Amino acid sequence: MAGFIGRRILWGALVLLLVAVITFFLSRVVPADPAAFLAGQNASEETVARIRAEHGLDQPMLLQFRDYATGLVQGDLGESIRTRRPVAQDMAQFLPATLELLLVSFAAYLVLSLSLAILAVRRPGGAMDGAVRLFTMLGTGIPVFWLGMALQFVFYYKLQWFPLGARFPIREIAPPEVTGFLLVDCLIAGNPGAFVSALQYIALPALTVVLNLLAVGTRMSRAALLAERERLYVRTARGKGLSPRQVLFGHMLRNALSPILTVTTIQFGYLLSWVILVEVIFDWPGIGLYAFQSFQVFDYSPVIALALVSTFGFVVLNLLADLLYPVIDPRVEAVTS
Amino acid sequence: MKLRVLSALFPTVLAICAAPVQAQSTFVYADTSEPSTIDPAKANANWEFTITRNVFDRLVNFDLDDPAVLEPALATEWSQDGTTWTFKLREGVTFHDGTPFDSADVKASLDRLKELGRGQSYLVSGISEVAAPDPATVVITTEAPNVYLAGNLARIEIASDEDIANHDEAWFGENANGTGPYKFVSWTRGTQIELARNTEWWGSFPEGVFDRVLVRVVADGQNRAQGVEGGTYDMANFIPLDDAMRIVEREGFHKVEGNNLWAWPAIYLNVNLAPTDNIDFRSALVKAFDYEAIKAFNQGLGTIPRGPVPAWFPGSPEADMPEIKTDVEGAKADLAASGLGGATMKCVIPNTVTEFRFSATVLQAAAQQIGVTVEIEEAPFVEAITAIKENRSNCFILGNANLSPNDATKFFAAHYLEGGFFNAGKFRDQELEDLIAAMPAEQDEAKRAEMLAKAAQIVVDSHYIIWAARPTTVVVEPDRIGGYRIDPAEYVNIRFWEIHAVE
Repeated sequence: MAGFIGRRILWGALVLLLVAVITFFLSRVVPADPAAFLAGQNASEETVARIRAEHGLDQPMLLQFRDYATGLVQGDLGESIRTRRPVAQDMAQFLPATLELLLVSFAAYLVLSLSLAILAVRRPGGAMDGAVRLFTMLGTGIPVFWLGMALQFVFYYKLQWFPLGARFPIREIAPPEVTGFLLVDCLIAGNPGAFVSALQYIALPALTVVLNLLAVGTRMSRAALLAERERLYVRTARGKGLSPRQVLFGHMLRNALSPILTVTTIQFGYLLSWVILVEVIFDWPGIGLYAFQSFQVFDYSPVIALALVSTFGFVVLNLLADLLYPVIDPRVEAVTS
Repeated sequence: MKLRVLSALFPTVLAICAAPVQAQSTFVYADTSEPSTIDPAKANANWEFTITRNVFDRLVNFDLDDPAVLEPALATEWSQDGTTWTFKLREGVTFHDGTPFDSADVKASLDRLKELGRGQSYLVSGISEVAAPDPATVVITTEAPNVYLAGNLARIEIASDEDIANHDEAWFGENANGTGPYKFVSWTRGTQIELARNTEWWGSFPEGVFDRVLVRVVADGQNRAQGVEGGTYDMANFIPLDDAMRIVEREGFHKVEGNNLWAWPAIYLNVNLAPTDNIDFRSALVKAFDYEAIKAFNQGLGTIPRGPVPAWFPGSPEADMPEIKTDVEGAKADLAASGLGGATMKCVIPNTVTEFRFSATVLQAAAQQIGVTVEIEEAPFVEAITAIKENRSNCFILGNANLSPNDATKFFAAHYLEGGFFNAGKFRDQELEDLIAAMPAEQDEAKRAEMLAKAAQIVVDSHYIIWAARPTTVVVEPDRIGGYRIDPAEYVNIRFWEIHAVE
């Protein structure tokens, strides 16, 4: 098992290295010069050249990569030209907002996709099954940016039920930042009113992400449960007089978890991508919005850092999934050990 | 019916559960981007000026309704004697941290600006020395006589000499201690900057002025528009024109119109690359261009420029210049004179602005009418400007604005003189170089106006630029808010100290 984990960690490190190399050189291939942005209109050629030199942008590409890679192994993600701060400091500030949105969305996705799949599988081909399929397909068929804007239009502009964007009511004072996770900070501050407000603000962004992922998740869970439904052990359980609820939750669900876990891991990768897009739509101050604003002015370091952080997240999640398989299904132990 | 009841009840339920709203008078302004810096010596973008212009003061201000009129600010009197400018300073002014303001602050701020050479330093690049003979007097010496110095100082913010001595550049990047009408309170990265009214300010506030200002970062134009319309934001910077015109038609909103753009877009033609190196060919393009199409795109708002300097700029010759309008027959005649009929030219244009794309398409269609092919290629801004500088493109597109309220020479230097960063098409005219160099030294206002007229005419006659439009700027103001005026020497910006609630 230890050897398996070691191999996966090495593999993960290699993936991270490759991502760093590819994103670095891709960002340099883009013919853009952030120095001109910093210099602004009416700046002289000399000013632009001086700013370029100050940020090392006039150095040969390989030299720039050597400096970047040296910093990277020391935990230095470079400096943002836009915010003029270390990228690691910026990421530390913006990451909790992204993680909060990610975790809330992920939790909602798990609950919804499983619940809908269970509802659908009770009578395959029935009205509920059809309704679930239609609902989830609609959610996935609509592009995430359009869905986000449509939800804003309906629930903010027309109904005024939910806010347009951001994390907390603008004119109110948010509870003191302790963890960076606003929902948690509201509870720490003992402010249930603020907690409700924060929930209101996270609702639409999370819903946008979840609706986009729901179809695949629900269909895969439904398929996994349906496959289990036909197994002999289910017939035996029923024959022994177990109630459908006991059969479903006590036996079928556990056995269906392996394929569901695989799909969930893949879905988490999409979740990361969608969260970044959703942050831009809802002005959610996380690493996605940070990287997007940086990309607009060709501020390379935050964009590379975002790629590294999301790859890291994906690698860790895959590792966790690999570790979970033997727990869910002991037969897998033999393969990993 | 059920939905109606539900829609009425749902916000109420949420409001009961939610946190109580603060009773302070708060103005929420949605800006397009987050500042890279709030250092007054480095600020360069209009979303940075949103903070620096309101937190710091300048030696002089200018009347937004008449930029030729300079008004006292930190200086109460000023005079020029050749290369020497003397400023008498306002007494009893303090910085937000309580330290008194005096001439040492002005000297330290100007010396720092010159040393860094960033931000708006180009506006005061001719300063050779700043002296502080006594706490209430500043003497500025310029390399050559410069009548525009006081006007240009209306854009230069003054920081504290103690801060300059005690803090590094990083501190200035995210802290601000000025003498201005609003104090910097906090900066929540990625979200907002909070300002509080400086009740000790030397100036006066209108009734209903806001105690607290929140500058929110809202990158998406649609979100800014919907946010203002829905009341989440009180006002916003750069609401897309279509949305702005729609919102101001609604009850509870009105529009504030004004001028601040010199040209948007301006198409620069490369004078060093065939076929645009031929003056008759360039003239043919200027005449063939469909100016009315751009005006229609701007919903009929604005004017068609006659030259580089807008009519509202002090001393502008625009009113006396002949109109530039579409003349396809004239274009065909010029093209025939150039001997370049059927030519092909390439335009690498910045891919970031809708109006740039549209004007390139208009140019393409106009050129086609006279038998010229325009190949359009879109690229990031720097790639586009590099392409024309390296003679890989015949044209480049840019928006023009001038940050000085009364000095056109800095704008000319950047766009039409040799070595100017935005003189992308490498235009050069010795007479123009001499005129622009001599203009600041000319004491007679009428003669300066004559020189500006001559300079503008040289650029027009060169057919170096197609000024596609000079659109009117439209800002959405709710009826419950008043006091917004468009700054003619800025990209769109806001003076919070003039904004107030309206009963």
